[in-house]
Amino acid sequence: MNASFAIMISVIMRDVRLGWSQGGTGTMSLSFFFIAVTLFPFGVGPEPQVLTRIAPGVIWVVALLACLLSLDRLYQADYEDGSLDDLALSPAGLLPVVIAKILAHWISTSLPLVLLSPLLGLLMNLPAEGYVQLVLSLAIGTLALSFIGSIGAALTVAMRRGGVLLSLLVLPLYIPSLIFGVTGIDAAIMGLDVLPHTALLSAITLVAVVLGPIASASAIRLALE
Amino acid sequence: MNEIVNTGDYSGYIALSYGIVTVVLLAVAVFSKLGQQKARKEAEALKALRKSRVEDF
Amino acid sequence: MHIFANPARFVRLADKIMPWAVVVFIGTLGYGLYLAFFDSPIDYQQGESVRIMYVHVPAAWMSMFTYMVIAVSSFVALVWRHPLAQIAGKAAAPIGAAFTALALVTGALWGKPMWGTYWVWDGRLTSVLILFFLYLGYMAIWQAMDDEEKAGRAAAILALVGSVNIPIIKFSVDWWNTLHQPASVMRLDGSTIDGSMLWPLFMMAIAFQAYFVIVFFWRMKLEIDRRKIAVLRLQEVSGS
Repeated sequence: MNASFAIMISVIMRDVRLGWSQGGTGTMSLSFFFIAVTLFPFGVGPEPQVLTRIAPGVIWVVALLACLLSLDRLYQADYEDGSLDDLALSPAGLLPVVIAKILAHWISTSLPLVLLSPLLGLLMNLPAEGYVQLVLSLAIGTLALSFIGSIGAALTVAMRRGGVLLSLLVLPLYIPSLIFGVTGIDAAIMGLDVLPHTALLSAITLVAVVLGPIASASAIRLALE
Repeated sequence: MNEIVNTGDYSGYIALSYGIVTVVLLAVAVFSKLGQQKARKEAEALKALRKSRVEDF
Repeated sequence: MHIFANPARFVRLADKIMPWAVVVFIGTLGYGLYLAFFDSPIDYQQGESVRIMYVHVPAAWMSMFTYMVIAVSSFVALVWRHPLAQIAGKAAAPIGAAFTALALVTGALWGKPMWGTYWVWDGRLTSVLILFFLYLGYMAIWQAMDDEEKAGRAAAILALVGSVNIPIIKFSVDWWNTLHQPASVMRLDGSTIDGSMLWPLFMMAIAFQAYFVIVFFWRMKLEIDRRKIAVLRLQEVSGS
């Protein structure tokens, strides 16, 4: 138990450092998030009421796409240079490594995005009542996105151009998180109870946390054969 | 017994529905059957080729 | 389980079932169509357009049934490494995708006169659309990998993940927006549909089921032969 814990910590540290080193996925998905959200006022017009209406949905959809864009490198770099083989053979086994890599992905790409989201809410004219729920729902929801996305990343790891296929596999599975993430923010804005939405969102995240690593690990074992 | 309140003419929609269902299901069936026959012939040809080689040898 | 693992035995069994499936298909299709067009009443609300239901509802049922076939065979393929189970998923997927697409198209053609629009973002429509996307993803992963054995197991993992997600998607989408009427045939307290409309529906449902069996067996045999060809080619090249 202790050994696998130590491996998990070291994998997380390594991946987060890599994600934030020069040209890492962390900085890039954060920039993408920022730029893509600012495109919407140009597309739909700058009327404050319109922006208020679409703000939760736009921020959530763009956060989802930012997560998706960084996913295809989740296991690929390690697969190509062979370190995934070493990690799979480590005494701890593949499962803790997979969990660690998913958590590292979340910390390096989604967490900064969650922290930056209030600023984008400001740009999108999000009402004051929505901010707490925006940050909360993104924090819980993006965790599910990383865990579900990991399955797609693991299935496409051995493919040279797996990125498009990855989106096709993963996007339908993202829909429940998106629905409850956005309805929760809408409820908060309208002054309604947010607990049911948050609870359902958390339930989906829990299912993803249980299911994601198991499916990812078996997909990676398949690719390593 | 309920009285029929809707007596509109929907024959166009009905014809189109049944037409599309027929075309799509027929296409899937024909495509599958043709593919299956082609694969069977190829497998048999390969097997025959193999057999004749073995006999030649 | 391994009784069915032998492809030759499976083909023999399929050849035995095939004529019966064809007879059932032709019989139920003929009788079902006769009932649907000539011997079933006009719905007091839907009018003549109720006749679209006799293909729409079976297609929608089959779209879910086929996914269940894929999910079960994926489970068998992963747990017992059963070679035919992998092939079964691959053979069923295009048929299921076709049923799903037909459920969507006929639903749209029914919706236009009834709801006044081809498409609404209603719970059921949306979840069937997502089911169609899941079929596309499943078929895409088969295409994307060269190694058939590996592709089969990757697709099986995806199908199982999808099968866990389908209830979640369904219920989240229903929560999100709902206009579609609730299920009226498959209900615990008995059907709310009159027998005169139930009969054509069931006949057509059996016909669709028989169609699935026929085409599914053709596709199974196609995949079995394709694997055989691949093995023979390999032996040819290696000169053994």
